[in-house]
Amino acid sequence: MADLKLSRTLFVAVGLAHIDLCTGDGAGTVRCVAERGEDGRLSPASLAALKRCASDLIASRSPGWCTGIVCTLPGRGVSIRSILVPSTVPAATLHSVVRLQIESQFPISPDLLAWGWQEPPKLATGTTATPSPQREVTVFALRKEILESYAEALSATSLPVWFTLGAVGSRASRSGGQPTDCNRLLCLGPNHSELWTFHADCPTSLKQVPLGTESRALLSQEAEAAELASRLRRALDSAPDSADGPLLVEVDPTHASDASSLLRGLEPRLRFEILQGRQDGAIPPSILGLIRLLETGRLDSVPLFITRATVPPSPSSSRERLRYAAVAGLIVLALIGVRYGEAAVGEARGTKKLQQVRKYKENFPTIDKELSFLQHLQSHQNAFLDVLYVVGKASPPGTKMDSFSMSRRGDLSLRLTFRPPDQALSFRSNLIASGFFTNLVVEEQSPSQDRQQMVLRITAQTRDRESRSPLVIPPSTPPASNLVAQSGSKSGPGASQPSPSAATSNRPTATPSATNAQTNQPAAGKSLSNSNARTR
Amino acid sequence: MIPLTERDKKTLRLGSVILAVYLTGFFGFRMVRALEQTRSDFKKLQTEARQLKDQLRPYETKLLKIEKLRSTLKLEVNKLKRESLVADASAAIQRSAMAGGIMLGPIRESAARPSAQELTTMQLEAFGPPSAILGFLHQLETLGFPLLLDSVQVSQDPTKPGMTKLTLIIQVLDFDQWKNQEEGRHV
Repeated sequence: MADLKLSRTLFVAVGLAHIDLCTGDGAGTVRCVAERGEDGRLSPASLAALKRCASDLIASRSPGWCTGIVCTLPGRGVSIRSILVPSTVPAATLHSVVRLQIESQFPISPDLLAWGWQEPPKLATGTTATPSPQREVTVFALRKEILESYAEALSATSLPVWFTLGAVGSRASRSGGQPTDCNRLLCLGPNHSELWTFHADCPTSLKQVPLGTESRALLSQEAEAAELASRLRRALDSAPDSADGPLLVEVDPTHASDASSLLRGLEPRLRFEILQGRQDGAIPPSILGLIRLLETGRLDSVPLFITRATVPPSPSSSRERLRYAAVAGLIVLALIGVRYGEAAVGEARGTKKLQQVRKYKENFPTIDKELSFLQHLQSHQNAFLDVLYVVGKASPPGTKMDSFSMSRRGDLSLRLTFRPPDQALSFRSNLIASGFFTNLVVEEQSPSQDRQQMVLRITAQTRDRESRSPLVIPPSTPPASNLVAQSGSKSGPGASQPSPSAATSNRPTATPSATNAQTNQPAAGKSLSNSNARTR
Repeated sequence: MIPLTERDKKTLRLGSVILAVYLTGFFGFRMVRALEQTRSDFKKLQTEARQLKDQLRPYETKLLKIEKLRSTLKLEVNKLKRESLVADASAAIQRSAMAGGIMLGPIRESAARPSAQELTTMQLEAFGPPSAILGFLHQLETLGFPLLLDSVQVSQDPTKPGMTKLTLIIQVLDFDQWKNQEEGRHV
């Protein structure tokens, strides 16, 4: 109810004789007759009239202008009691404690009641010096079916409805929620009246007085007048006003003079004040008081009837539900996003990337082809430099190489001259021990005429790269700087000036064979260069 | 405007709800189907990408091997022009020989043998000191051309003492005719 706006609220005042409907800004007012049955409840015709009037009044303006209905009820059927609850009860659980008290003190179960409660100001107890172990709470209750009949009539509007006591609004029409000395209110009906007593702003008692505006006709009969005066006096005596202020009287404006005459005739010394509505009574005092409370932001202090069936959804709970719904919606969206978002976002990027990879994949055959070609080129190179190195290493000093021939398939043919001749035997053994050759055949071994030299002609088959033992190059071998110095200029498209490291790393055996010649090793090259002289 | 009764309002409300449920179901089903299709396509794409990745993995190693072989042999096969390959290779061999102080003898080129995937076979003779001969032989492999020494024959030059005679048979391979094949022979 805290979020209600005056211009967007419909007020309904169910009185003793009429039902007044009024928009918050007072622009629209409707009145219908409140016909009651013998049990005091509104007749079906009156409820139908209330339903129709409320719907028409809401429909007479733009859709959605009204956000809630505040309905005031008469005191008929309302029971008011003061109950005590422990002072230590926190505000959050006070409602439950009050309900338990109602269950214990009322003859009807709280589930069958529409009830509300209000806590009078503590100053009223007069025990402010020491905190009381109990505090007083005023409970007002009404049979639920009575309230539900109003609620059903107003439910056609599909708007939240708050129910409160009309007397609270009527008194507030004079006080405006401020402290006042008027603590008694007489709601004068045609046949009977309700006498309310207030303590501060809290109604504390309600008495039904068999006295109405129609009773004015009985004033001419002395006995009847005395009886009426006696009833009024008893009622007033039973509800004394400690502030001794005037009696507030709420009466239909058309019967205001009758009420005044009646009260003066019955109790000439009685000080009373007839409450005035607005717009010639179109806005009754009960609604006027609520409007004033709403204008001053004190509408929340008005006690409300609470029933499980008719508790209107508070704006805060509606916001809570909206928040939960929003969170649930977000979770659902997140789940959908997790499932489909990746596909929606990543498909375009993935397709583009995949196309690039497919395009790149088209180069695979070229890569395979180039690798195969280069591997073939490397593995099928003639290994004659390795063979020359091995032959040079196996040759004893003084050996002369006459010819060297080798094919790419590994067929080797050598012609060597040994001096002294017996070194030919060790040469053959060294070649076999090198593990580089198979099918080593001495095709010719012939001594020279002077028997000082031995000519040896050997053929052999070179083992393939995998099966022959690896060459071991002595680490002290210096780089073949002379070979590098003799290297030619750049020749091919991919060739560059060969560096010493490149020359040596590419074919490491070339270096020993050349350096052997310079370091007095029995290298074939040196032997070839000194064809007419011994190397050592 | 005709005022609507409660019954009319209820009918309208019910109709609106039914229409909303139908539209939600209709378009929702379509949307879900489209989204599922997109997701299915994406899954296929992912599977294909995974397969491609598996296929690509060995090529990383192959590329590294190619780089190493290129630098070792100083050979860029993709830059070779088939039309002028033999001429360029012959010129490079002769320049290398002359730079190393080697005298070249007769050079003969024989016709190509497509079955051997070669462009030509060159036979050349050279004369020079042994160290120069060895340097020349070593340099032949890194001239930047696909050359294979089919045969090497070294002997004394009977006419010039201290000089060595070199007879070479060189194959110039044809990369364009090359087909992916496993290495068959090893020397």
